[in-house]
Amino acid sequence: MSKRSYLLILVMFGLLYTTHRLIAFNNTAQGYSVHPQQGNTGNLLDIIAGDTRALIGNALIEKAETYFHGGMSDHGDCTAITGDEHHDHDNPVTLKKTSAFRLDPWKYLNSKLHAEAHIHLALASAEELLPWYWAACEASPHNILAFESTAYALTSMLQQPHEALRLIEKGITNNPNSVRLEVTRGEILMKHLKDFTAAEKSFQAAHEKSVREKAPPDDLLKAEALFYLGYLAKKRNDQDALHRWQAIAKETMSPDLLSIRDLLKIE
Amino acid sequence: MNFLTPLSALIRLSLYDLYRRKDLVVVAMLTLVVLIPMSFATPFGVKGASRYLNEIALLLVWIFTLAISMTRTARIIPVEIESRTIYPLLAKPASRTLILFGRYAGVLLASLSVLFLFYGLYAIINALKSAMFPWEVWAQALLLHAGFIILVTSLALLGSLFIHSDANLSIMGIVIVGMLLYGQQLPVLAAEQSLPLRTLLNAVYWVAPHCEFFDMRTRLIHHWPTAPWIICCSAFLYAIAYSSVCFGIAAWLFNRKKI
Repeated sequence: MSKRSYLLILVMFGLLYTTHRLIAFNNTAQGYSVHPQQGNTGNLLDIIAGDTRALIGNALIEKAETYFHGGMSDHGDCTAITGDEHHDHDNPVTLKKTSAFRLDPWKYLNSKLHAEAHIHLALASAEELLPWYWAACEASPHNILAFESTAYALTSMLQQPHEALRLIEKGITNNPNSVRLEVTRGEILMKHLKDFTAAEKSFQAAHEKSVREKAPPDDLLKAEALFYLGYLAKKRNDQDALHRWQAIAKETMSPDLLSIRDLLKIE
Repeated sequence: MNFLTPLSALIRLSLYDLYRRKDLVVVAMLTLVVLIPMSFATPFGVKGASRYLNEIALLLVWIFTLAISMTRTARIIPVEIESRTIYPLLAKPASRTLILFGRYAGVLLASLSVLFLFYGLYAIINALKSAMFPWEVWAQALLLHAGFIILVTSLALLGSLFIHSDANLSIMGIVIVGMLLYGQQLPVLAAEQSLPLRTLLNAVYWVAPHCEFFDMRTRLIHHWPTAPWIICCSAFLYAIAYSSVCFGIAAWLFNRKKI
């Protein structure tokens, strides 16, 4: 390569670095991202890729869902078996195949070759979901659903709460404003690791974030965080704290929400 | 049996051409480069996941066999004409149909040999890893994939006789991938259209090659039970019938072509 080519490469790297610094400066100064759909990240890759990363992440989650359904891509495949409405997966009567395609040989042939009554993946094979979930989290670090679904698979299907907690904490680092991830973290700590003190801190953080984000009175996540805070206060016999959370719930939340009704019932 | 000697010579020529060019070695190396690092991955420290590897391996097998068979077939006649090697072939005591069939059969056999090689490797690696390898589903997947190769090579051969090889590859690629992805959605799409377009889409649905029949990857990866053999054989016969029609039209065109 000639000296001019090296110079060109150097200039390109310089330009990329300058752009990156300018974007970071813009975010710090104005407090918002150039691409608000990707979150306030200031990451050059996010700005170049735009929503592509989110789309890839969603496709990978869908792939994991397909694996969970034993290879069936969606409910449309199920209707190919029954011919019309979606059936109950676990009902053997509805799993009986019908031959609705006698008049269309191509459809008949295709349904016989591909569609099968599907079963959910056995818990023992749940590790098959993980590569797709891992790829979804890596491809799309601002995809809250990816982190949440992966954490669910790790805790409920594979009994790996420590790994789930590590992942959720990484998700919170990537998405510092997410109330959902904070609630999920609290649930893992409370239900699976029995660390009630840390769980309470998580729910408090979730509540603070939802207040900061001006969550509406019917916000389910805020209601859930308040319920858990009241429940944990009751668990350590702190009546003052319980009454304080109940008062906040009465003041700021809609009484129609199930979590709020349950919180107000605690004595 | 006079036609057998030139036919076997033409088939040998195609087979020799494929293995001499080292395309297969490049493709095999590429597959290994993709799959070996992946096989060591343990996402979240949990071992035991293998279906994703099988899925990626089979996807690569599909892409590479399709690329090899289509590019080989699309170049049979145009390259012979461009390099003027068609004239010594036509001077031989063999009909044009026989020449076309010999060259086509050679490329088809070469493509099928690549397919058998890949499926053999897939079976050996999986059988070594797990005692529960679904041999019958594997055999069905292989049969139908062979049917797919027969179908696409005949389409590429037909296309090569009236359009340029690059355009042929592009158009056939779009048709094949389009039918693989949306073949079964065409009637639904047709039902939503107004009348002239609806009739056109329905006609496409009945006439276009239904490549989606031949993709048995999901059944193989997710350990579904075997499909009825009569259905598999019907799909294979569909491929044979479709490619026979394509070859018939191609032979008719080649016999009338001014070279």
